[in-house]
Amino acid sequence: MNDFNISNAKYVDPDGTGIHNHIIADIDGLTTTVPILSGNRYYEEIISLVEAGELTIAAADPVPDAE
Amino acid sequence: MAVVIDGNTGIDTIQDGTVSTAKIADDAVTAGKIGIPLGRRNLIMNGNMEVNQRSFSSNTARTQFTYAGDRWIFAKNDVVNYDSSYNSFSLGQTDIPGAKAYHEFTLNSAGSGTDYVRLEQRIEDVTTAAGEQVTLTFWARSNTGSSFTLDADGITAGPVAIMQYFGTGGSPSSAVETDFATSITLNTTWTKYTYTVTLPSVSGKTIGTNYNDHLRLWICAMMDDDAGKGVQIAQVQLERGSTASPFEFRSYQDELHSCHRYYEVIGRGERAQNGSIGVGTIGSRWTTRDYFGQICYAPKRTVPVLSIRNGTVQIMTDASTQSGVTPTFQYIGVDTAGMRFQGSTHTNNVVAYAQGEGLQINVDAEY
Repeated sequence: MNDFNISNAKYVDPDGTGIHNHIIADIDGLTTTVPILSGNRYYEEIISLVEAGELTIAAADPVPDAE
Repeated sequence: MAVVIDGNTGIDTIQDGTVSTAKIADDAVTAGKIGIPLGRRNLIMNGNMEVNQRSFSSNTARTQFTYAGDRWIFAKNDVVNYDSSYNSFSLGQTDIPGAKAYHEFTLNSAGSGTDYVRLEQRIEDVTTAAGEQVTLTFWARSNTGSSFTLDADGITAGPVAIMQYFGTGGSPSSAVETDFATSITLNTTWTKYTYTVTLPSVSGKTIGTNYNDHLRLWICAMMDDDAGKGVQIAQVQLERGSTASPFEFRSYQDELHSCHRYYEVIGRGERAQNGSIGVGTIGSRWTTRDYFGQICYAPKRTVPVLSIRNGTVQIMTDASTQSGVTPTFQYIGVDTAGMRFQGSTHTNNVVAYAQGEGLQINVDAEY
């Protein structure tokens, strides 16, 4: 049984550089930004769910060219 | 001439210099004669449970963790189903002097083996009080209308215990559990419980590299054979030494500020232009996204998790208002957070700012 209710996970590529530093997911009913950081309870749960085949992290939305 | 004060001979005055400190036996003066110990004694934050930034009230048939009043967690393992709530004491209550609120949970069901639910607090830094005696006091009672006993069946530690958790990352040492009690009987009236243990030394241990080591205190762990039982818990104190001193009352502001290291809400009630709430000052902006600096009330324990609690974020620019904007953290510093708001393309002119009627953003760095 999971520790948290997590769904709709998606990587965030803030600057369009291909570097993911966050995951956005619905956690217990709130849209939540989770840092990709070992030791973070939500990040570790997300990875656990992915490894168990219970969650997929969608690719980051493309970021238009900045000025 | 040697004089022995043994309670049988009257002494009117002891003159200066006549009895050196070394001549006073260690147990000659009891704690009750010393008065109230000074200093910040309670290692527990929000021990009186009055800070509740999440506005947690109750959950029914919950199967996941619940972050309740600040710093307090209803933690579980594997398959459990429980109800939990946060309750204020009625004004003027005299059951527990000075108590403001209590946490309550009832186990509906649990799988067999190591499945459990319990009230926890995680105290930063696993080296805290290592090798020292610590004394735990709290108040609790049964909520079922009858007394019952919780014991350690099926789990490696007692229903009231503390764990030295060395974290994750690298090659941390295994956690070490120490029982405060291998069983506890809950009465139908509020009862004060006191336990003293010696925490093991951490000499030779290794702390993980993820900065998440801590002491993990839990109270009233319940397992499968405890289904149907429920407890209420209030006014928790954990202190160094073998003496249970009176509960340390802190001001709400002191307690709130301590809790801000682990959780805070940005945008709590501040009202800005047009009745909206500004959440930050723009640091830079591009045509597709905007960056805002936000000062947190307190430095965070670690890079926090960010979520919108209430309201809808909008970015106001010279020509447009964008709604449905999702904020993400770019950077968290000592006491600031750089937030980025991703919106649709807009012109890059004049000032942009984020706003939202009733906007509140959770900043969560709890374990």
